[in-house]
Amino acid sequence: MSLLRLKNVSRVFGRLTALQDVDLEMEEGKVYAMIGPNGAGKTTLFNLISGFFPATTGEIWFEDKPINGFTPEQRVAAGLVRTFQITEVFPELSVAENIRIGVEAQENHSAHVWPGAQLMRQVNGRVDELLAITGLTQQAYRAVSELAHGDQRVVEVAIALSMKPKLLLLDEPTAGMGRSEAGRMVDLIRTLNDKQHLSILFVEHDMDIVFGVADRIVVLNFGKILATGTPKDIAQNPAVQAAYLGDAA
Amino acid sequence: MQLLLFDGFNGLIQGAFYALLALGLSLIISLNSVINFAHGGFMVIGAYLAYALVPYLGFWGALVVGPLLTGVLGILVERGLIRFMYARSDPVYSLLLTFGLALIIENAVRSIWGPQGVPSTIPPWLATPVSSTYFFVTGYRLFVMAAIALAAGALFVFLRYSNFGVRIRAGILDLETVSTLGVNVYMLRAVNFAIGILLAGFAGVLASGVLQLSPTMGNDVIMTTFVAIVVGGIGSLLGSVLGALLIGVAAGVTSAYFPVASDVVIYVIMAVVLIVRPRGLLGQVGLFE
Amino acid sequence: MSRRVYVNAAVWILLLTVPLWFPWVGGYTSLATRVVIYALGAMALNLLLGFTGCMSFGQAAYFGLGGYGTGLALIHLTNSTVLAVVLGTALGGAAAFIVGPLIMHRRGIYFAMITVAVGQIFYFIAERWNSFTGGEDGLTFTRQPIHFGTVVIPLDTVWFYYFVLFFFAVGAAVMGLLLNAPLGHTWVAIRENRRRATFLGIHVERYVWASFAIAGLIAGLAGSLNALQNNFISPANLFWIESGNFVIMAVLGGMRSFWGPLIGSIILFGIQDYVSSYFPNNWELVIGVLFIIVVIFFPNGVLGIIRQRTKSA
Repeated sequence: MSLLRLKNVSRVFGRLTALQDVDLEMEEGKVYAMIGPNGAGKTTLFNLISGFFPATTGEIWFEDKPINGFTPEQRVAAGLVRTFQITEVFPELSVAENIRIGVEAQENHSAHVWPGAQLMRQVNGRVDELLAITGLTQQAYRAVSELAHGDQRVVEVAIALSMKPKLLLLDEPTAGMGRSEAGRMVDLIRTLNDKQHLSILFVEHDMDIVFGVADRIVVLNFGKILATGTPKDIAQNPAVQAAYLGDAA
Repeated sequence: MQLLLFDGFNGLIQGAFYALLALGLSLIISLNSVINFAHGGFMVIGAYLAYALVPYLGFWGALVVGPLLTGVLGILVERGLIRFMYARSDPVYSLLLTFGLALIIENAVRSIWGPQGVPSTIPPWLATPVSSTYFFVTGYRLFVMAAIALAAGALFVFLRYSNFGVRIRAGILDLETVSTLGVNVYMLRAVNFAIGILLAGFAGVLASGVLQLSPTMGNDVIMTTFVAIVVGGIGSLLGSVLGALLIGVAAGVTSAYFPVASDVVIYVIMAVVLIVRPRGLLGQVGLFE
Repeated sequence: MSRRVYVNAAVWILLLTVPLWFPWVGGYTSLATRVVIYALGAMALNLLLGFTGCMSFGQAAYFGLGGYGTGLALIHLTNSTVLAVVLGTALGGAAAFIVGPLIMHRRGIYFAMITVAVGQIFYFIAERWNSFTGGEDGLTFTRQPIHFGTVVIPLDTVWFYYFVLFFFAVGAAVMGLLLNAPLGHTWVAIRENRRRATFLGIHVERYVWASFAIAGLIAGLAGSLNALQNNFISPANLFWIESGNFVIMAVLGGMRSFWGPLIGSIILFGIQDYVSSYFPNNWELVIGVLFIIVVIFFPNGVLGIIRQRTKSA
C-alpha cells in the first residue's frame, strides 16, 4: 500500500493550467522533497494535496482511500497534516499552550467543559512529549511572538505533530532561516523520520538541505513532474540538470 | 399618494445625505483601514461650525469654510491619534479609538454649545417651496440634493482622473506596494482621512439647514451610516452610495405606510441583505473579515 | 499559578467586605451594587471580545432582555425574586442561543453590525409593544423579600448587595470554569489565529455560537439584577449605547484579563460619580480621553499595565 498516490492529477484556474498529468506515488516511512523552479507548481500541488482545492481532473488516494473531495479538516482527520509557509501559530499564547490546542483538538476535547484531572494529565503529558521531541522544552512558557523566527517555525511543526499525522507536509520549512536554524530544522526532520517513523513531504529551495535529508526527490517544472527518484538518480538526470540544477550539479 | 411622494422624496434626501457620509467613511475604511466610529461626530462638528460661522460669513461662506475647517481638524486627528493604530493588525483597535473620540466630540460640543438643540439657519430664498402641489420640495432640499450629487461627482472625478486620486485608488488596493513606489504614504493617509472628514463636515453643514442640531446627532447618524456601507458592501465606494440610497428610500417609504417601523427597517434590510449576499451588494471578499 | 490564587482571594475578600470599607472611601453600597452588576455584564461581553476575539456591539440586547424577563415575571407570574432572576437570565440566554446561528458565520465588522442590528430590533420591539413592555416608559415593579421557610430576607440595600454578589459569584464561577477548560483554550485559539484553528479541525463557528450564547446568558443575568436594583426596566437598556458601556469597561480594565472588566466597571462608575459632582456634564469627556489613552498606549488596559510591571519586576 502506498501512502499517497496521485494519478493524472491536473489543476486548472480559469485559463491557467497550473498542474498537468501529475502522477505521484509516495511510500511510507520516507522523506520526500519537492523541488522545482519558481512557478513550477509546487505550491499548487502542495495546496491540492492538503485540500485547499480539489483536483480539476485525476484521482488522489491516501492510504488507498480516495480523498479528492475531502476538506482540509477531513484530511487532517485522516492523518494528512501540513504547516504553512507564513508561520501560522497562536502568537500571544505560550509554546506549551500552542501545542496544547493541537493536542486537545486531536483528541476531540476542544469543547470539553469539565476535563477532570486525569484528562488534563493526559493532555499535559502529550504536550511535554511534543516539547521534548521538538526540543522546545526550555521555551515552553514563553509567548510564541517573543521567539526567534526559527523557533516559531519549530512550534508550527510541533502543532502539526500534535495532530498525529501519518504524512507531514512541510511548506518551505527553512524559509527565512539562517544556517544554524535551518540545520536545526533539518535535524528535526531527520529525527521525526528516524525515531518516529513519520513520512514527510517538504517543499524546499536549498539544494544542500534537499540532498542532505531526502530519501526521494520529486522535481516539478511547468506544472508537470519532470522526474522522481533517489537523490543520486536526480543528480544524474540530464533533464533535471538542464531545467534546474545547472551544469554545476 | 402625495404622502408616499412626500415620504419617498424625504427618503431620497436622507439617502443622499447618508450617501455622502457613507462615501467618506468608506474611503477611510478602504485606505486607512480605520473603522471610524467618530464619523458622525465630525458631521456634528461641521454642523455646529456652520451654525457658528453663518452670522459672520453668511450661509455660502459657512458652506465653504465649515467643511474646510473640519477637514483640517481631520488631519490633526489623523496625525495626532489615528496613526498609532496603523501598526495594529486588528481593526478593532481603530474602532475603539474612534469610539472614544466620538465620546469626546459629543461632550466637547455639548460643553461649548450646550445640551439643547440649536436652530438651523438658511437663506430665506432657499426655504420657499418650488411648487404649491409639491410643497415639500423646497429650494433648499433641491439644493441639498444638487450639492451632494456635485460633491460625490467631484470625488469620483478626483479619484478617477487626478494624480492624487490615482494614488489613493492604488493605495486602497495595495498600500505596501504603493509605498515602495516612492509615494509618501503618510501624506496619502492623512489627506485621504481629511477628505473623508471633509465630506462628513460638508454633510453637517448641509444638515444644519434642515435639522435642529444637537450634540447627540452623531450617535443617531453613525449607526445608520454603518448600516449603509455594510448593505452596500465594505470596500466599494459605489456600494456605499447605493446602500445609503437604498436604506434612505426604504426608510422613507416605510414611514408612509408603517411610520413606527421606519427606524428599524434599515436594520431588517441589512439583515436580509447579509443573508442573501453576505458581503453586501458590492462588497469584496476578505475585507475586514 | 499561585499568584492567581492570591489575586482571586484578594478580589473576593474586597468584594465581600464592601459595606464595611466602601463608605470610608466616599462610596455607598448601592453604587458598589451597580458596579458589580455592570462588571458582570462587561465580563460577559469580554468572553466574546477579549477571549474569543469577536467584536460584539450588541450585548445590551441580552442585558435588556434579562431585565424585561425579570420585570415581566414579577408583574405577571410570581412573587419570587429568585425565580424572576432565573427567568430573566434564561430569556437572555435563549435569545442569544437563537441569534447565534445567524451571526456565527460572520467576522469582523459584519459580525459587529449584525449584533447591533439584533439589538436595535429588540429595542424597537420593546419600545413599540406598549401594552406588554410599557413602551418608552418602561416597566416598574418591586423586588420582593426572599422567604426561606420562616426566614425572611428583605432585599434592602446591604442585603441586596450580597444578593447581587451571590449571583455575580455564580456567573464568574461559570465563566472561570469555562475559560480554564479546553473550551476556553479553544476560544482563545480562535482569537489568536482563526485560520490555524480551522486547520486543526476546529469548527470555529460552533465555538463562536457557544461563546455568544453563554455571553448572552450571563448578560441576561446581569440585566435581571440591574432591573431588580432599579425596580425598573426600559428600552434604553437595550440600546447600542448601553453595549458601548460594556465595551468601555472591558477595554479600560483589560480585555485580556478575567477581572479586567470588573476594574473597568470600577473606573467608569468611579469617574462618573466623582467627576459629575464637580462637572455634571463632562464626566464622559474624561472617560473618552482616558479611553483613547488606554487604546493607544495601554491596549491591554489597567490590568495589562500591572501585568507588565510585575513581569519585569
